[in-house]
Amino acid sequence: MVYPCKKWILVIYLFIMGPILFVGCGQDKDKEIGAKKKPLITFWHWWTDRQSILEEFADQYEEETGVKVKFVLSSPSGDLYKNKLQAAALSSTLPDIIGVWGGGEFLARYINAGHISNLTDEMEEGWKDRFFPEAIKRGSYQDGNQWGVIPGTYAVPLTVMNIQIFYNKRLFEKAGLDPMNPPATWEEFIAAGRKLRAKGIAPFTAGFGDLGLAEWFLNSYAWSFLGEDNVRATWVGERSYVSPEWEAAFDKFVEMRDNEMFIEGIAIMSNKQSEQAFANGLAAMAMNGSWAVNVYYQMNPDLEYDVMSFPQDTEAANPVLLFGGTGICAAVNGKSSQKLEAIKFLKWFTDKERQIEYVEKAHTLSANRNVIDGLSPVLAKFAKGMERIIPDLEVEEKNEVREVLRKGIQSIIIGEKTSIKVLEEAQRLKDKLE
Amino acid sequence: MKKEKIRYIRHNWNSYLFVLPALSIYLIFGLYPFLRTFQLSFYRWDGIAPDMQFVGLKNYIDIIFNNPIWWTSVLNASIVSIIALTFQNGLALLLAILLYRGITNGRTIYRVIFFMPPMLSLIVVGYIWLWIYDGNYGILNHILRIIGLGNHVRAWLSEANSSLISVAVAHCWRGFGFAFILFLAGLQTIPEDLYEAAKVDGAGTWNQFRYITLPLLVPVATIVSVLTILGTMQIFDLIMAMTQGGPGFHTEVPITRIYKEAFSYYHFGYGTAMAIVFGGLLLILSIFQMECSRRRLRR
Repeated sequence: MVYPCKKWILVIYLFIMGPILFVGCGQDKDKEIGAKKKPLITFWHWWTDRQSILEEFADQYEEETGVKVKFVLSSPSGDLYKNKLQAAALSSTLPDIIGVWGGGEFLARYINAGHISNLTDEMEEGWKDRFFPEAIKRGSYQDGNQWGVIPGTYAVPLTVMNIQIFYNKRLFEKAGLDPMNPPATWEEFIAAGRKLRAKGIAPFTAGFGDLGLAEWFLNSYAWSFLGEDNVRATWVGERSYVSPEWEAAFDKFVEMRDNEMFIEGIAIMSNKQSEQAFANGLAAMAMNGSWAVNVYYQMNPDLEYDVMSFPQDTEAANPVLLFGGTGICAAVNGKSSQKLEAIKFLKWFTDKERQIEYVEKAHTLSANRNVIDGLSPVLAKFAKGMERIIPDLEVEEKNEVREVLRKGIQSIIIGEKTSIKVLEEAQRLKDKLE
Repeated sequence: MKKEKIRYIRHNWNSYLFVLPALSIYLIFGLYPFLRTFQLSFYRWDGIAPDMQFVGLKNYIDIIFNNPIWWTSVLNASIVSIIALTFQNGLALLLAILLYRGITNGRTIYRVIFFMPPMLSLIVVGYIWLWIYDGNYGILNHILRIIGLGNHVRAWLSEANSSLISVAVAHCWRGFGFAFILFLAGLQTIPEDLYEAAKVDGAGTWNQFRYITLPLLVPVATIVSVLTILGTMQIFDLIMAMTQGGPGFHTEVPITRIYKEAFSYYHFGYGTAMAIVFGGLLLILSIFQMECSRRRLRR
């Protein structure tokens, strides 16, 4: 038997708890409106420096087509963005368009789990002709790739990039260096560093704390000393890291350390800190990607700088190549109900007219190969650098080994380990994993 | 007996009803994730693919016997914990005693000042100390130069022998306010007449501290120590903001390892196994510490 007063308790309880328990069952208001009235395409990305520019394009697209595109700046950094994507993939809440990096292991995992659309058919209908072939290749997987992805194109390249060395013209002049003739060889580079240090200027900065940049620097010289076949052979386990060529590549960090080239604290410096240091004139040279043109413009519009390629070591067997390829890409959610609308928008966004406007506003390099006129002198050098980028091997070293190599670079910089010790550790781990 | 139980539940069902929301939240957000984490630790899974591969105890065996970086990270966190237990809590106790028994004016102001750092976000604290330690324009190096200690100037966070200690100092700065408040609350529970009686018996300040304050603070000190160990061993945000585990593996800690394994290297199952191993370690540490203080109290 239920007592009358307890009935009241039950009524009050249901009155309070009912709304709380069922509040989660409501629908996303935006989605509901979008579904009934006009389509809404959601586009996630992590490009903190261009959200407002992207929103302008979204407004323009809505005016032209009536389709609303919602750009969502989902994370303050690429690393955190990856975590968000992982959580969204597990809960099936990925957006219609996903900002991604080009191919490789990262995208392969999402493709294999069915989260990314295969865009090969659309690309073959002429869409791919507007892009740099290398940029398309970075978002594609070939037959027999190491991740078992069905061959095809999965990512639409939006920008291309490569890594070079920015230098501050005023600081070069202060150290008696000619800003019109930056160092072209390794010897000249070290000599320039000595002159800068003698004037109390930190010669070189880079975000080696973020690890990726240290690895990119290494790869340029590994390529130069080893060549494509030997790098590939090492990554697939057919050649040991413990070799004079790999040691020579790692020794670049040793030489720079011994000649006091590095800014204080470079071993754990994030790329954002490094960008601030260069933009504020604390370092004369900065290793960074073409995206930094926009970053430096936002940090210090008056900064007078130019860009130079990685200096060539005359003892290396091959020319030094640049790390680069696709900058940022977009992938279409394989489970989205608005797949076709998403593809339509991406076709619109990557056409020449829009990309000219995008390049002007975002100070970046477009993946559209028809958009090369009217670039600033610095961006033009980066565009030229696209001809000398490290080819995509479609093979990647294991993450665990890469971590030991990257952390090893930090240890070399702080004088804790020798190149050969780092290489032995990496090889030991590689042997264990295989 | 069974009938009695049923009658008891029938008479008190409304009480259970009010416990139900909290219980549901605990089951959904506490117990289920824990059980799921435990289950995942026996699998090889990348955190994205729909399929998982059962590997039994392989993840655990690899972590415990074949992963020196994991044990380096545990050692690093332990060093920071020891620094926090001794210096941070020592300073907190000292300041609490000074404020309770020594300083009479402006107590509230001091309390607010000391309790401000714990209220700051760890990322904010990380960035504040990143600037303090900066090798190029950091205030610490600037002060050292001013006071004539220019030869000690360095990039504090990027040198092998100073990076972990520097992170530990930032952690202690942020954490000591919380310990301070707990110690202050503990001091206020000690009856004043004990001190008066001790004075009559001729006990000096040191003996009062040794025979009254310290023994009666043991329960609070136990709580503070357990919380310090749990909080410090799980340090993460500060490391990510300041060093990302570098240079090399000098500031790598267990949670950064778990994070990197699960999210950067796509070893989700392995990462969850690390979390279980680490949880077990913390549990053993806490039980050991509680048992020690219980024995001391019995004595």
